[in-house]
Amino acid sequence: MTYPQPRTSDQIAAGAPQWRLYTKVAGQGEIYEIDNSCTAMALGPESDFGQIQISYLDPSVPTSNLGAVRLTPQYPYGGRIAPRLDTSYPLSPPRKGIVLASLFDNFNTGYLPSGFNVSKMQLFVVTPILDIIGWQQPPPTLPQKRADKTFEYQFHACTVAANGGIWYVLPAFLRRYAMFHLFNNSGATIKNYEIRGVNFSTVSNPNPVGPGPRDDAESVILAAGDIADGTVSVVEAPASTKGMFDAYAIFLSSVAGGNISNAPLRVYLTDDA
Amino acid sequence: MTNIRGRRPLPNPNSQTLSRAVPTFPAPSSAGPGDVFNLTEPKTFITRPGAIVQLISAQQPWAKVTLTLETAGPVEVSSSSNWTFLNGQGQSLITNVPMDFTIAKGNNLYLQAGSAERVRFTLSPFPWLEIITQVLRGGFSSLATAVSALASAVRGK
Repeated sequence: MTYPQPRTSDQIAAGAPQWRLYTKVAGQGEIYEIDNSCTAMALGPESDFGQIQISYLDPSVPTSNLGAVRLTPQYPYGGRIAPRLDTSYPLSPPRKGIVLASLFDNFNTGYLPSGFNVSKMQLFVVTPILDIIGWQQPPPTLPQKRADKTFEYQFHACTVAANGGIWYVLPAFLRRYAMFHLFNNSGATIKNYEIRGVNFSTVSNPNPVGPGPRDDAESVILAAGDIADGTVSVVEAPASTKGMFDAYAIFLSSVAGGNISNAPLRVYLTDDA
Repeated sequence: MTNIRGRRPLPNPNSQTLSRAVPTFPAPSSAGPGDVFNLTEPKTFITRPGAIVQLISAQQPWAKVTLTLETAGPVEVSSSSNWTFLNGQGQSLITNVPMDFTIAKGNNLYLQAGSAERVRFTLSPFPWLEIITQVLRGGFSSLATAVSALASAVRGK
């Protein structure tokens, strides 16, 4: 998370017609404070997360006084959510009635692909972005999907070892379609090109599938195989046939080890089915 | 019978109203700190959560206050300095809807919000209302003086 946490009230004081909470997220336990009200709230276009829980002070909820609503790309919230800084949650010590945003998606910062070999593999994890917009006046329309997102890497910093490679872990929470396009123009064969769909777990498992402490589930989208020089690999992963995943893990390696140049890997993600 | 010779004549209660002299009105109060008599004051302010803010004090003359909530709210106003927020004791502002309040001299207007909200505030003075009220007050005063004198005379009879 950005520190200090961005204050939505600064944007309102500056005259903005809406506030925006935009930050990178470093862990599942992060909770963000929103100190301004809004007439409607939705995931922002850059959000990697697909499910955000918004909690607010609601005196009509017994005991906890905590109301909650979940934002998804398909369900923006069209109602007023207001912090109550003039009063407090019934806690000891009391906490001001601020609006809280937290992750509803599972997100494991300690994820390692199963079979990860420290001596042969690099790990490149894209830190997911939390993006929420709160409008001060009813917007003409509420967006019902996030912006499409493209990740592109042309240079792959593989480990210098025989068959040394690199894993890319890309956030894909609730994305409904993914397309993986690899053009090998490197002058050599790319070895063990592999794509997995990953669903993070919050459950600690004494016998995890992967080397990480949690039992993250992996599904094979593309089994490991070689990509000859001068060829293109296109893999489509619609949710209807391949499933929905929290992230995609992509591996590629070089025969001799070391960096791979001129092999653009493009991953295209969209909320459209 | 009572001999009335030598007594002073009774004062004419209409003497002032029959005066042909041009009436004099009290001049409007001069502009000074906090005086809005001759000023239209537009501004936008950010509310402070949980604080009751005084918008108009009782010392200020008649004025029309227009409040427009630019943010989502809730923001409430009240003429009392002590009310429970969102408990039906104040009046809520509506986003993007200008709300006018005509504030007579001697009244207050307070505002309260639960978070930092942006409120557009326009203060428009009513100079003629002050003059009217002062003239009325002056007229009533003259009338009261006359009635009082008449009553004194009757009692002394």
